[in-house]
Amino acid sequence: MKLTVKPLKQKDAGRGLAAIDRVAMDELDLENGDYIVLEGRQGGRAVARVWPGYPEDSGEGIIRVDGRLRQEANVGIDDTVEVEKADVKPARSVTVALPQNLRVRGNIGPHVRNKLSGQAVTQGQTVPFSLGLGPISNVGGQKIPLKIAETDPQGTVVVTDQTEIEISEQPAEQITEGAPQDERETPNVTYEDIGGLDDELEQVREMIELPMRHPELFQQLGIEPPKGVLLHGPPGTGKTLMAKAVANEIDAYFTTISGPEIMSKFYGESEEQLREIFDEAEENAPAIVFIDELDSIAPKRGETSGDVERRVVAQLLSLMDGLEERGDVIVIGATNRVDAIDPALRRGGRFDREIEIGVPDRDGRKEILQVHTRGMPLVDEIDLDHYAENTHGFVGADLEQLSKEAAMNALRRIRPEIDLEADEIDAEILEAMEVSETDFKEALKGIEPSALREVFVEVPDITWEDVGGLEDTKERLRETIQWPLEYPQVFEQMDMQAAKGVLLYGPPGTGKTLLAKAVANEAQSNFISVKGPELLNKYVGESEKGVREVFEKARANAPTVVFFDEIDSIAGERGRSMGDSGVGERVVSQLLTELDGIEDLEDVVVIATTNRPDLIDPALLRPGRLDRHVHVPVPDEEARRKIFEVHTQDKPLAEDVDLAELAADTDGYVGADIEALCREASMAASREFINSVSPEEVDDSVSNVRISREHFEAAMDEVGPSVDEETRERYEQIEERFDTSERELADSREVSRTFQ
Amino acid sequence: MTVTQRLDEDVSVSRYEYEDSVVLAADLGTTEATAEIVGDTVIVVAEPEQYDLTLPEGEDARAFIRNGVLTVEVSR
Repeated sequence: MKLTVKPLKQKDAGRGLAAIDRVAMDELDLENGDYIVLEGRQGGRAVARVWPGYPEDSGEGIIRVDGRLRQEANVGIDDTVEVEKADVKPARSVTVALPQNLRVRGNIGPHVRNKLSGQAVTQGQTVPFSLGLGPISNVGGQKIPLKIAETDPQGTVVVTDQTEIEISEQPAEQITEGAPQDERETPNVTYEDIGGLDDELEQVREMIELPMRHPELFQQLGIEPPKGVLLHGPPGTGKTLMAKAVANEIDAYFTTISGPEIMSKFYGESEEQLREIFDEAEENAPAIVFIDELDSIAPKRGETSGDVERRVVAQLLSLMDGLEERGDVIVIGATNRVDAIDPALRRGGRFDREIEIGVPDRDGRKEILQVHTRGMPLVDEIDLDHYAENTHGFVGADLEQLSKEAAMNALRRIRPEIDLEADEIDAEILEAMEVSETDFKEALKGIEPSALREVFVEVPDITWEDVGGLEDTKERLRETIQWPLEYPQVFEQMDMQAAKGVLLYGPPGTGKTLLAKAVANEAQSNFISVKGPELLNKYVGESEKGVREVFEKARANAPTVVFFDEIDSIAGERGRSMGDSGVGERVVSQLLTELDGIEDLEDVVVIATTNRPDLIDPALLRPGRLDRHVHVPVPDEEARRKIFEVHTQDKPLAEDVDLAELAADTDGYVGADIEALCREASMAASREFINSVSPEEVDDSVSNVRISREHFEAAMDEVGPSVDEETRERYEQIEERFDTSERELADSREVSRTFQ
Repeated sequence: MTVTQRLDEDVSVSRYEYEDSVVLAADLGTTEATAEIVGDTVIVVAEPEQYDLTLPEGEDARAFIRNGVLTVEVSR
């Protein structure tokens, strides 16, 4: 029966499984776990075990196999393959050969058997195999290539629990019989090794695979097949990997150009090298020429200083779309600075399509994690979903780094047991290694997303529960920031635009920054914190550029919360100060256009805090920019009690401490004052305790210490309220003014509409 | 399709929801194993270890292991 080949999901790859859709399974009379033979082109043959087909494939006649099986069967994605039920004998014994550079002491036979058990193997086949921790082998995909040297009986056999596994004396490299070695350098990456880029991959395949396999399609349509694809996106998102996978899957000649390598000191030689590479590719067509870091060899001609670069660009232009037919050579360019590339390259006929490889979303991250932990012995508590959820802004490279670092942590744990002097590592140790939850947690602490590296702050570990009181404020923040992300359908239904920004204002110490931290944590978004003065730069134009960059990063990593603490420092009213050559004013203007300009801010929310809202440029406060003004007031008695609760949660309090009473006594205290008060009270208790006992007894009696009422009373003498009646009134006036001005603004808009 | 349960460190159970049935599948990595349905759990014995798996809701459940692939099928 003929079935169409599709890629397997990342997590099922690497185990010799073939997911066949249910209808086809019934027709072939197969059950899960049965062996099947796939017969592809040119005698390609692979044996696989049946795995339940994905529900979405039902009735489509689809077989999903991973890259290794595709290679063995010599088929590509969307090809058809003949599938038959196979009769496979159990193996009595299998001899495997390990690569030369792997030295293991002891009998790894049982370990090999465990890993291979149930899989079908043929003599001469190379089976990727993970031995304990991945990073020991530096082979792509973190697998050790294990070669099947001999099987008994001959032919394709199944490894069972009774199979004897022998390790060949000869290393794998010396066994040449069986499948002939592929001499050409095609990278060893399959589509299953790419996670979270399904749409992009589909686009690339459409551009590259189709013209190479079926050029007649294009002839029929009377168009020229595409010549090139430009992949661009932040570093580490998988551009190079994707090019490698495509080259591997369509089995094309693959050659790379790396910019600095082709540069030569002799006149004309750099261009010649380029020509040579293209000539070579043409001879070996179908071929893919991959130019990594394209911006290094093809910068804008007008902006380069050197003569060589200009000629190289010109040469590249004519090679890509010159008088000579290029034939079946497709160019893939990759860059992370797409705007730095000579515009002449970015037109149809040269790079026909530009595909953006973006930062992966949650599902993408999960797939990537699955790829990288595929060969890793994980303990069962590890929930990859959880890590996918918690890694906003991580690109593929960061996630790889994360899993590598976790594995390194596991390695560190067992390192004392390894005798580094010995030539070989004990097989038992290898088998005992596993990556635990703590390894991952530790690794996560040390890795920050590279796309956000310059502006990233670790998301603080503060929840709404840590904010005492301020119920109204919290609710309004939640509405503004969490709702649009959590219930986008409601906003769509009501034809409502999410608020762009929130201004939190109030006297110092009332918890504005704390609220912002809680938002950052609860909103499940990336968090960029901007410290105003940091943006200022001595060069003209650089300060504004800083603002621009912040918003650019925020857009690239959306959903993002951009947090400006003390915004009055950079957004003071314009037209007042003349002393600083107007930098401040230009920064404000930049902020205004970023917040409400032609470019839309999608899923980016700005939170700003200030305690001088009266100093901020009024244009920034109008609707559409920081349109929500939230007063964070001095806490009332009820709120103060809640703040006391938060701050005394883990403190040992004596029974005579009544928080309600304390709250009643602390009129005019703000959150920060209450925190200081609690600290001072505990300090007083500690002072009393440490002075009363001898140092030897401290350990024993420390659990008896209690903070009593007297301590709080003493602390109250030390810490006074930081807000007086006057300040409070001033803020209330400001609040009133904001409310009325908002209303006036609304009124004036009504008016202007009637005048139109 | 989500990984709902895990049997062992290496063995994750995939869950596939079709129109008329739910299938749980796992590659046990051993050919010597048996599966049995007791009440609403599937007991998988792969000497010397034993795993329990909660049966999805439905009727007419069957479980079998073939060449190391555990399949649990429930009609709904």
